[in-house]
Amino acid sequence: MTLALQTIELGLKVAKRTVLEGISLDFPTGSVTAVIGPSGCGKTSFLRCLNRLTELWPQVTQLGQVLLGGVDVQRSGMPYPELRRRVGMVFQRPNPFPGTVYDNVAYGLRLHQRPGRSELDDRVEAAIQRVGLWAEVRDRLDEDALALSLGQQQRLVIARALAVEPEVLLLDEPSSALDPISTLRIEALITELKNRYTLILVTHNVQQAARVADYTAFLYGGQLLEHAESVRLFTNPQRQETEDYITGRYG
Amino acid sequence: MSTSAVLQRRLWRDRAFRGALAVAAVSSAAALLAVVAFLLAGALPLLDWRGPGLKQLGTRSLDARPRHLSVGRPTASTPLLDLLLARPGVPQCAEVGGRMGCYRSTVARPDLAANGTGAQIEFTLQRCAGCTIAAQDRAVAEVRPGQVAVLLSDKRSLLLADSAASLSLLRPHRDQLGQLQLQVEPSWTLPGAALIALHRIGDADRLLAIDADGALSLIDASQRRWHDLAELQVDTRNDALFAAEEQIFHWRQGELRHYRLSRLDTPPLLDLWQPLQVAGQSKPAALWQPHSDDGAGTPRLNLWPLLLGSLKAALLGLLFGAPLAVAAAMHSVQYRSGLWRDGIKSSFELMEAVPTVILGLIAGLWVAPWLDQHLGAALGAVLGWLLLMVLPGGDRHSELSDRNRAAHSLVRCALGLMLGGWLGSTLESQLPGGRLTAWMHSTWGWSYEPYNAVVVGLLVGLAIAPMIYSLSEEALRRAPAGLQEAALALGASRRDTLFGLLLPTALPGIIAACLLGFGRALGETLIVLLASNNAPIADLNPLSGLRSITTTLVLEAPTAVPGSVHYRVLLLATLLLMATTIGLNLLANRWRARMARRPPRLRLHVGRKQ
Amino acid sequence: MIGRSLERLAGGALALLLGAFALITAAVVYQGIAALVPPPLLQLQLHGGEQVNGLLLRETETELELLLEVRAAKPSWRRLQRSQIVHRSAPESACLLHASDGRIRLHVDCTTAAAAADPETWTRSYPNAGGTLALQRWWQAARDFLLAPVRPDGQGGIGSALVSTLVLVLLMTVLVVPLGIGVALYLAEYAQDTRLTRALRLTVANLAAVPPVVFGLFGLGLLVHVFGSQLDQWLFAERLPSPTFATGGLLWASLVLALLTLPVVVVACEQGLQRVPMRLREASLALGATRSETVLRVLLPAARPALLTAFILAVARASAEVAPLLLVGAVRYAARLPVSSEAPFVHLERPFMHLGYRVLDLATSSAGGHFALQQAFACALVLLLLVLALNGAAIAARFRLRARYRDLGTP
Repeated sequence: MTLALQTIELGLKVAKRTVLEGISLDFPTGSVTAVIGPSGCGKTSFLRCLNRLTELWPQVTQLGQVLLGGVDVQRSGMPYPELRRRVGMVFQRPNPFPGTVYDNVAYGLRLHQRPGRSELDDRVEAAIQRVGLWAEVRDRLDEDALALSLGQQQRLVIARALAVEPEVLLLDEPSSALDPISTLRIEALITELKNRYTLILVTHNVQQAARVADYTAFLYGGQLLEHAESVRLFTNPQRQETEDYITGRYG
Repeated sequence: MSTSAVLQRRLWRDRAFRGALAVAAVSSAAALLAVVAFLLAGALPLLDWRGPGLKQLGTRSLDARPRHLSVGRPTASTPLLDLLLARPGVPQCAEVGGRMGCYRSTVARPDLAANGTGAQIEFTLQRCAGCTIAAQDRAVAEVRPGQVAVLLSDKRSLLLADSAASLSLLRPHRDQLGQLQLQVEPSWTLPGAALIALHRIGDADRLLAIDADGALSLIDASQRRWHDLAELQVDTRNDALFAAEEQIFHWRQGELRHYRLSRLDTPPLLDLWQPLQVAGQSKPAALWQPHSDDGAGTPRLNLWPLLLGSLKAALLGLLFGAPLAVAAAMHSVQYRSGLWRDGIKSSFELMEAVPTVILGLIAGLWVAPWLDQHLGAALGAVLGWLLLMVLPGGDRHSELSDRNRAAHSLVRCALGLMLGGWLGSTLESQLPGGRLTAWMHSTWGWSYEPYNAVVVGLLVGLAIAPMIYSLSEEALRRAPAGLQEAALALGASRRDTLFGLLLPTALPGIIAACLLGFGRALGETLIVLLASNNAPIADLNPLSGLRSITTTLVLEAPTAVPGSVHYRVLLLATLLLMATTIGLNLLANRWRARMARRPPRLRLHVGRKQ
Repeated sequence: MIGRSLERLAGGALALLLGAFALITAAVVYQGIAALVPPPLLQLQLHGGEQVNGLLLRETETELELLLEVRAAKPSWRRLQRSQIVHRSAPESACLLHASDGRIRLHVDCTTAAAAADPETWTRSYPNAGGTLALQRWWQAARDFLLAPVRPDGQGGIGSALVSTLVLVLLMTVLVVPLGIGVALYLAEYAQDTRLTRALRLTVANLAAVPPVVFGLFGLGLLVHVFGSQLDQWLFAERLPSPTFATGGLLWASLVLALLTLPVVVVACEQGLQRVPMRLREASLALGATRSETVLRVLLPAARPALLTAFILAVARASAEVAPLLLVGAVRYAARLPVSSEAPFVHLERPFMHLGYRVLDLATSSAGGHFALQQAFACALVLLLLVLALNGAAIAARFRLRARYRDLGTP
């Protein structure tokens, strides 16, 4: 089993306050790992550490190591654009750019590969196909992306992230702003995608984690309390806090 | 890790972009620093508090005491009086404007003079060559011998210094009958010993003086100022001294030293603030006369008239503009519909954009002449407006619908202005003369300048009101909407929330708005230029004219010679102005930051009986 | 009780301020349009049988001011008390003859032999005629006001002043907009909260606190006197001692205006950028875009209306500002426009005429008398309309901007 991504003693401080501490996690290639935990436990911060979006926050220091394909991101001096091309991200609320559907998906491709017109068309189509949106938007490629429904927007955003061929895809509560049907579609999509990509899913929804994730990590108070195969973690949690959380006593 | 060439290029472009932006930011900040540096560099010589001084240029050995270098010996211009007294009847003449003015001693007995009993000196004015001198062109004055005297640059006046080191001015002038008089103007005294020699330097009335102790000083006769030249002390018995224009040669014990008078043109900083005693005036006055025309040559640059002028215009502007603007903001935040609020806000934004030259045009062409004729009507209108606004009636103003509130205010406002104006003008026409301004002058002795500070203040107030309005309105909106709704839900009226929640929360912001408005008013130029008489007067009387720093710049900077004292003083005044406005801006920022920091204030007395 | 009175007073204050604004606007509009209506030619019968014919220039409650004729550039005026007048009429057939050198002659009845004897080359107009002739007259006056060449005494059409003002403002825009957007981008997107950037921010903010005339003095003292004369020595030595750049001109004036409007542009752009939702930045960065790519491809397009607002506000501010221009090159009369068809097309060193300066000049010059004042108001009207239209456009753009951000969601 190869590891697409691995963190070693990952920590995060924001203005001298410790947000994350000592998190060591392995993300095997082609798996879905769910990161769960109560609000404010640092799930989103953890996700942002993986593609270094933490740099947008003032006064942050990131500790520990992130290994992408076995290479230390920090020490190898990998530029952020390169890291983020290889580690894509999808946010809580769909955030398409104001512009056409086509331009949204082509955005990353135009930055990184600069393919010719026909190749670009092919790859945009392939990306939209992959998220199962092609049938819905094939005639609306030149329309404003903001005119799509929220669920469509979220899938479009996933297509946009997939277009640049990332190795890892970070999903930050991708369905929390969506209606139940759209949520189901996103979950189906996640299961579909895990053959080609390594997925890391932050979610609030314990059932969702149980449904789609191969592995589940439980974060609590900025620390990793438990990490195991989903089946084991949900059926036989080792820690009291984990059990309380998954049985819904708090959260 | 191999990164592709594309990535490298992108990263490089990113860094270049960032660098370019940083350069833009730094250069725009540098612009302000450049302005400050420019003003400072220009005004720096004035910040020298030392005043004129002597600078030693060189030394040469010279064994023999040079004969023609002398202290206290008669040279061409020095002890003119001694010369006159020593050779009575022999005139000393100078021509000005085609007329020959002559001084001569009329005392034929120098022995009397030597006894100190006094002598007479006569001044005559000859209208043309060969003309006989009429009696009215002849004037006589008593002088005391032992004085030294020098003819001033107008070639008419004599500056006399007596043994007590007190100076007086002998100035020919004509009385009401056309008779020439020689008037001795009040003397002023220098500290130190009696003067033994006076020497005029250059065209202006600057005199090098040596007293009996050998101390040198520089006297500015037109401004009645002196500066000690402490760098050189002369032994009046053994040394020799010679002055030619700004060069001074001093011989002592086999050595000849060469000095030059430096910083002659720069008055020390303090001189810019002290009132001047001017010939013909009884009291010292703060004068701004960059091109003084009475022949004295040196400009009179007192900063008080300009500072007070700027202050007067800005304070009156704030006085008129700020209350109206803040009140208007208080009124408009209570409108419920966004359409009304946006409409009012946009109107004020348009108002802020009106070029001040247009406001100045209105002020100068209409407001000032109209107020001069109809001050009574204007006062009546203001009082009528106030009265009708305060008058009870129209219950629960704040609870009215938007449209009714606006209509209510408008009708009351118009009615008050018209009734008051009509009443005022009716009363005014009953006054003797039919004009309040004329009546005020004849009854109370208040002189009313048509182009006065009040007119300026009115229009400056109108110019800064939109800005104060916008900032105050923004501040009043800062209180969370939820809090206001909660208060309303608890039964408070809209008025209660205004005075109990919005106003206390917004107070620092409103203060900041007023400070910024004051800064804007200080920098206002065209209204002041067009609506005031631009007379540099150092007073705070709102009914007199004014001249602000800004208008002085506009009027005088284009013709001022770079490097001249006048130019430097203009830069100094600008520096003061800019320091003030920037200071006000910083202060306002601090108040606004305070507003942003502190939580909303709630002082409600819900359920209080009205 | 006090609260209630205060509240009503506040309403009154709002009404008073808006009323004053409306009054000023209305006055300028009325006077400006009235300036374009040529005065009537009056025939007045006085006590004592004297008859006076003249163009009515000014009418107050007590007196009238008439222009009798203009002979060799010397106008003759007459002031009459109302009480002197027995009868007043404005005959339809009256005409005004206008020579190309400025001479004017009046005739109460144009059909008489005396009028016919006047030279054919003089243009005739009928100031009292009604109907289409009146419209024509007005049209003629408006055209003259815009297009007639300006004369060295400052009278004449405003066309060249308008063109010069626009060129000046355009040049200023070219200088200030890229710089202002750059500064705003740096402050909004790049500057972290360090002591240095805080000082930078404060300095840029304080640029707005500097009175405009101070920039004018800066332009005169440093740009004109120091840089200008240095430039002359290097590049235009053959023209010395007559100055090229060492005197007020288009370049210096536009630089000064650029300094003046820089804070306006920076503030408007920064506000626009701050209102672009953070989510868009995150989306772009998460796709591997560099910061500059994010700025250029996402932020600037999203903030386009804000940039447009900044541009319009800068133009409006610059065209309303007169005080600094008095120091750096606005003149009463410039023989040549700052733009021409010969290279280099834009003549940066030339002094220029300016609408606002013209208002000031006409209002303060004693030469033109009543004509000049009317012209001043007409100029003021053009300036006012220009500035109000620009600001109106900025306000409209802001409302559109707000609607747009509502679509994008809150930041």
